[in-house]
Amino acid sequence: MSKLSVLRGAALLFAALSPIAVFAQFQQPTDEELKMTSDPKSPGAAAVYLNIEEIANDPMHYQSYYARIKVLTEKGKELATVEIPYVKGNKRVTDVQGRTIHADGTVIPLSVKPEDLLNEKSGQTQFGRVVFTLPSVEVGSILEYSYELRYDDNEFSSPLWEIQRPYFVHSAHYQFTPFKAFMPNGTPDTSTSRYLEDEHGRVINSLMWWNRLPPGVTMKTSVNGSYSVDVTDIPPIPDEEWMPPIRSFLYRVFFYYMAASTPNEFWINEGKLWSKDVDKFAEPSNGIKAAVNGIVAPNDSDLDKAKKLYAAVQALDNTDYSRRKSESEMKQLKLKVAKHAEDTWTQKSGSSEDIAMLYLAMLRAAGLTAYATKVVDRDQATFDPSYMSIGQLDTTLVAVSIGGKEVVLDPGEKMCPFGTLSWRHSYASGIGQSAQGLSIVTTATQDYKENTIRRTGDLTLDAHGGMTGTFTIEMSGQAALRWRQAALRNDDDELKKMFDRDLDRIVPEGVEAHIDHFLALDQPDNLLLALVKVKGTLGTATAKRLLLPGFFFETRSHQPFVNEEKRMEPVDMHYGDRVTNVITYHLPAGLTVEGTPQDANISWPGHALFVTKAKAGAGEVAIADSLAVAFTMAKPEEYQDLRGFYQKVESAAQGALVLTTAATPAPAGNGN
Amino acid sequence: MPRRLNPTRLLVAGCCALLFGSAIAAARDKQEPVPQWGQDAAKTPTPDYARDSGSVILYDEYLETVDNQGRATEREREAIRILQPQGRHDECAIQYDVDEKISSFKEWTITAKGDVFQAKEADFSEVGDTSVPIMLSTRKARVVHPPAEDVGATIVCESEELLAPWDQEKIWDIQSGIPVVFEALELDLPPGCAYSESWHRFAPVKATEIAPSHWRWEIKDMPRLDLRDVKESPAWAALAARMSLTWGDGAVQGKDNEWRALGEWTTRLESDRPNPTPEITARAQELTAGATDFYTKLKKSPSTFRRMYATSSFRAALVGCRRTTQATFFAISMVTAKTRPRC
Repeated sequence: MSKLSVLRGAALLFAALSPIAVFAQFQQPTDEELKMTSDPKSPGAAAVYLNIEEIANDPMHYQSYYARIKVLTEKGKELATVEIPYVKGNKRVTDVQGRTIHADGTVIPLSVKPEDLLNEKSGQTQFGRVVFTLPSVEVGSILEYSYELRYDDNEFSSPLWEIQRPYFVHSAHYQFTPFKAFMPNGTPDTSTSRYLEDEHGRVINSLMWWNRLPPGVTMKTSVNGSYSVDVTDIPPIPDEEWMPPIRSFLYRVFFYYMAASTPNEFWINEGKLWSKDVDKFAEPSNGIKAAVNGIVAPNDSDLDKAKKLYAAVQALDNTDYSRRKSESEMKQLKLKVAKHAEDTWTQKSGSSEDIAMLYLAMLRAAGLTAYATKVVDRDQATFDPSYMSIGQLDTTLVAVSIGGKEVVLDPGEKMCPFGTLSWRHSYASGIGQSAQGLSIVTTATQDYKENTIRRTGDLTLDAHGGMTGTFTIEMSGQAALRWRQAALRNDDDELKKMFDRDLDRIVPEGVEAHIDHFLALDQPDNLLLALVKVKGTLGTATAKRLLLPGFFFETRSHQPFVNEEKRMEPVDMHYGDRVTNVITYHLPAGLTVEGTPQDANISWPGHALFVTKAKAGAGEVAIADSLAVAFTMAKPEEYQDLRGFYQKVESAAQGALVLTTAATPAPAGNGN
Repeated sequence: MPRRLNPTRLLVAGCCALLFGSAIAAARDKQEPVPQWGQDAAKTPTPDYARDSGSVILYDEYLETVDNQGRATEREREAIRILQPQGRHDECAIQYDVDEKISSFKEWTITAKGDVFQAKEADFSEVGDTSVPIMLSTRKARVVHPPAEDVGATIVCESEELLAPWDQEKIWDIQSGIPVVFEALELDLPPGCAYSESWHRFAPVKATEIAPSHWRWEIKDMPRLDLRDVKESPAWAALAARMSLTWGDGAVQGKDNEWRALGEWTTRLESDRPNPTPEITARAQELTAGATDFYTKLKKSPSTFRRMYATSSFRAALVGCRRTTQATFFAISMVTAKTRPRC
């Protein structure tokens, strides 16, 4: 039997980046299509896809692509330029054809050869792209093109169908003919003397597919040995604020050849391989044990041991926050790529992954029960176990048992306090080791009380609205982590400029705010403080009154969701938090408080709370507000409640602080 | 008949191959010393005005060597010191296109402690111009990712490139986003060849003729142009100081002369545009047969031609002209250059 390789990574790269696939013969447009100036199924669209067709044929080693697009506005003309990325070597783009059809039926064929351009070349790997631009494109034109992607006879490249696109799709047909042995049941003559093997050298024994399809659409099979999907009226990729990583929610189909038959079997096998690699790297060697003995004391509690070892690994050079050494540099310095935790400790440097595994090794060397957990980065994707690829998971966390309780730690996240996870790794799923073996795990969401920003200000006003003062901004949790990590990549001056740019977005018009200095920037277990100086002109002065914004911060920005009537996708707030502002205005003589923003207590039960309070005293007025968001995700069906809450917050935040000049007593007269 | 090889010969051949292979590998890995100019540049102290910058250019020198056909070879020598972590983004790169060739590109890093690293092939990458896909740009850049690129290190780069044959201008970007302590431009022309210069946002610097037909300009302590926090600023290119140096046809002195020369050059190129080819004449006459006036002739033209006529560039086509592509422009320019005694 001869063996053939399965080419997956490059195919996924290609398919993930390429435009729609095509093969069908060019079609005569209908009068309706030619005359179309807008699409009632996609109001306001710059363009729509009339047809898409992708045909993948592994036995013949090609994929073909076809698209027909109607341009409706100037912006839609951008689709005239088609870029086809590919990995040079064993793939080539061939048979590019295209034409533009004007609204009056005039056909202008693509007569120039496509350009084969470079994206990037590094070492032996070269990413290129074939680019062509359809000619004479106008608003109202129909663009039509096709091309083929061919690969070597020994390669089998299962397709990725990106069904949902930036523009509406009227109809699309996708078809895949796999390697003979994996054609659908009922296909005649699927016997073959050849077999496939994956990158690990394992014999492929199944063809799997992962799909997310519109309601009512299913995968079909045919006796000619192919799988197919036909769809109509596919909405464009949503673009809403505060969405979860969108790629996880789009309509897509992945095919892949596997050395496993079911998702369960895959994760067991793949998990075992991963776990074995983890245990090998994190072996508590003699060198590790010696290092641990130098850090912890024998009578330290488990918690103290865990904290001391955490501090020790956090102190190492994390190259994801500094820089990775190049191959030539490693060679010259006689350093080696870390294959064991001891290498990372010896070199006092490593990637986030290396450092997490080192911490695991040290905990085990100290006699603690500790396991590795590999999760997805929630800023990039959500974990789907039905999609059989361990590549979805990219971060290693460490779970340690302390006092009978499991604590999950994030040692690879530089400056992350002990016991805290980066928000990207909280409420994130993946696989984890445990005493019972491997399992699918999900880390906990963050408590909003762990992520706080408190701004306390003292502002002195003059009679014309001129203002000077200072603020102290206290940060804990994710806000503090963000600035501490920024400090690793920038010097003090640059960091201050970045902070000032952030302040500029939230202080009122006419006010300048500049950070004076930070405190505890390099102490991740403490509150991070920023001392800010402000000056400027606040509010509007009239003859008798001074009108100031009721709430100093974020008067220029709007609350989220207020203007968005409907919601298609879930809401992802990243993490719960609480932001509190307490501003004390010191008034000049002659100004008194006429009105303050109304006290408010706006609640979305179990989810969020907005409270405001104002208190006027002699020569001063204090206004406090606090917005606590105690949830991470909200479903689309909860959206109206969510929106309602923020609308009330927006309305309450419009309240003004009104100061009045005291009446000037009339000068003593002669009695008239 | 199959030959049996002498085992001793096999052993010797194997050893030779091993040694030879090792020699090649060793030659490839062998580190070249930092050139003297780089060593001298690395000793430049960091000026006070540069201390709030992520990095500072200590030395940047261009040498344009022009041959008798007007084609230039450009050598650049540059030394950059990294002052802050964010300064690591300032790397050396050299751009080139299809008519250009990089003949050498080397990089060394001198660390704050004085250790020296040289970039190897694996530290270089090539990137294409993906900024505007519709432009179908063939422009590429060879970029080096310096080893040991830490705060306090000095990056020393040297490159040489054969420029495009039609390129008779050097835009010297004397101001950048980081300060420049010392920079220089040299122009080495064939005897009798002229050049012209124009300055933007910087007082002209007088050139020194350091050898016959060989001039040098030097500038010291150029401040950086940082527009990141400047709201509603004009475009970078409008504000950044630069000098344009031309030789060959474009080398005329004085602003009025330059515009006149440009006009004359354009007029020369377009001089035969109104002249139709026999094929265009025949086709136009076929389309307009029987028409007695211009308006009727226009109505008889296909709608596409009427739209094309609306643009001046195609008006000439209707009355019988060639459309001149950019390549043709430059070909004409080159032909012109060859028929006159020119550098």
